[in-house]
Amino acid sequence: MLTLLLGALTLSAIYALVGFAWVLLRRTNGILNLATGAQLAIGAFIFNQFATSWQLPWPVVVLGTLATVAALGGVTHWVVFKKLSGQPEFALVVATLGLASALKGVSSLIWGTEARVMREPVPSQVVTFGDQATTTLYGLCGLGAAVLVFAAAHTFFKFSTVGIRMRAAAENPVLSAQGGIAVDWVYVLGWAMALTVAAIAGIMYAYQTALSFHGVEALGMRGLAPALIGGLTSVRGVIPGALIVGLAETFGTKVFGGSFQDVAAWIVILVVLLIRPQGLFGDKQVQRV
Amino acid sequence: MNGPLLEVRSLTVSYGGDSVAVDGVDLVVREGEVCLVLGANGAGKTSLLRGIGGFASSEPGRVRGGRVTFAGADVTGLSPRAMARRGLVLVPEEAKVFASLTVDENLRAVPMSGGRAARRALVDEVTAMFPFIAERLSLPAGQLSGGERQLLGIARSLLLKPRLLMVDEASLGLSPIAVEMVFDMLRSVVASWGTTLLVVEQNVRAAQSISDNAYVLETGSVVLSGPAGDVLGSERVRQTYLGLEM
Ligand SMILES: Nc1ncnc2c1ncn2[C@@H]1O[C@H](COP(=O)(O)OP(=O)(O)OP(=O)(O)O)[C@@H](O)[C@H]1O
Ligand SMILES: [Mg+2]
Repeated sequence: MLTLLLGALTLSAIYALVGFAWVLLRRTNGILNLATGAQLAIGAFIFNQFATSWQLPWPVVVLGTLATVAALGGVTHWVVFKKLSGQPEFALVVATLGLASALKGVSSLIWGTEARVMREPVPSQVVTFGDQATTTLYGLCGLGAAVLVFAAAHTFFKFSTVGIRMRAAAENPVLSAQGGIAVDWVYVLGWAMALTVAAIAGIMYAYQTALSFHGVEALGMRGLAPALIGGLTSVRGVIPGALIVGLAETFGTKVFGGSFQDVAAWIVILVVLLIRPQGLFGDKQVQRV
Repeated sequence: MNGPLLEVRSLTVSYGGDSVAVDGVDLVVREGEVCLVLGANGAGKTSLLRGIGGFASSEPGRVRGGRVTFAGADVTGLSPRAMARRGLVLVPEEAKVFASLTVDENLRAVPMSGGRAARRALVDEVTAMFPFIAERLSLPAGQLSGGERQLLGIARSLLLKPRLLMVDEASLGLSPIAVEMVFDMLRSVVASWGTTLLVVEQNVRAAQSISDNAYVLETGSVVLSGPAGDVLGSERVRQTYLGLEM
């Protein structure tokens, strides 16, 4: 039982990271990014390229992945979404769908489609708490990563000038521009940060399962559930959202069998949309006539 | 620089389609002057200021024709950010502050120029002009009163050290006392900084005391302009604007 709870907790940590990527982009750049899943996978594959294919030292792997992923984020804004500014969100969402399939194509061209095992910095092992509760080392790493990311994000958005400007631009881009803020760079940063966190989530998940584009992408799409529970624009709301989805998926799989893993999050999404479309923490501005 | 600080020639602004919101407006503002723009609802006052200050590419509004010269340089159609960096700063009609940010964060979000000491000094100078700011630093700006929000919007714009400050409806939705407070503030900005002002104002009474020149807009065109005293004293303005307020 305790093992199951620990499993739910470590899974929630991954979901929290994925949800963060969804929410950050929706809130800062105003885009519901349907390429989040593909970006999770691409991030993990880039990491794998540095770590496994090239066998580089770990600091180089980490820095190289971060730089590549952040640059990819910047390019995404300058090449695609800057041109689309002023279009309705619907058009932007369709563009993210196109982006997702482009990333998928690139990935299968470069890395093929079979699952891979990633080089590990330390051997994966089982960690035991007390008498019976067990989890994996990489599960705990994922939990640590989630705590770090949320703490760093909190500090960044609350105390740093750049973070404050990002929040300003998220609330009102036109007023920000009139106030001299470089809104395009805010969007670049939004993409870079979202892709970085997505990559962290993808890497952590790949270490706990295996690296396959399909598997990681599917997780990324399920990560819409925690984001939606939080209201899609509340970073804080992602945490309870991730816990709910993590618990539902873990215990649902226990009760209904392994195939429930793929549907638990989507059931949560449907239920949220039916009961509380604005999410638990979202603004109550969603109006349907 | 010999010419006026701001020179607008046959400016035309449209929001797509065939109709134009501003239709060939000429307007001149000299350095140190306070210029007032009047007009009924929908006359095109906001569109005029936005056309001068620039539209973001994400907005439907466009400058369709004409020329805007600021400090001797052609700035027609530049982005709002480029305008702000050149010292042409707009305090817009709606949403003058970031409601979800605290008062302090609203000020910190302004990308000021100059070194650390100079920035610090400017912040101190501006906050000293607006005493309520120091008492409300950690309050979300959305919870300020309407008048305080207008003032915070003006304070934010002052941190950019504007050469020309454009204020769209500073008295929007304010009580007479709050209107007076806002205009006292604008008056002291003009007096102590020598900032040039271009203001849109429905409240003619409040604005007339500080204005040097005035323009009256009707359906996108200037129908009357000249020294503020003459324009505000004219039969037309007295009937349409002052008459209603009696
Ligand atoms: N965002 C917009 N999209 C389309 N048309 C617009 C937009 N903003 C203004 N207009 C049109 O432009 C014209 C001028 O509007 P504008 O807001 O400039 O008038 P105004 O003089 O500022 O009015 P008010 O006193 O009500 O603020 C109006 O006919 C209006 O319908
Ligand atoms: Mg207006």
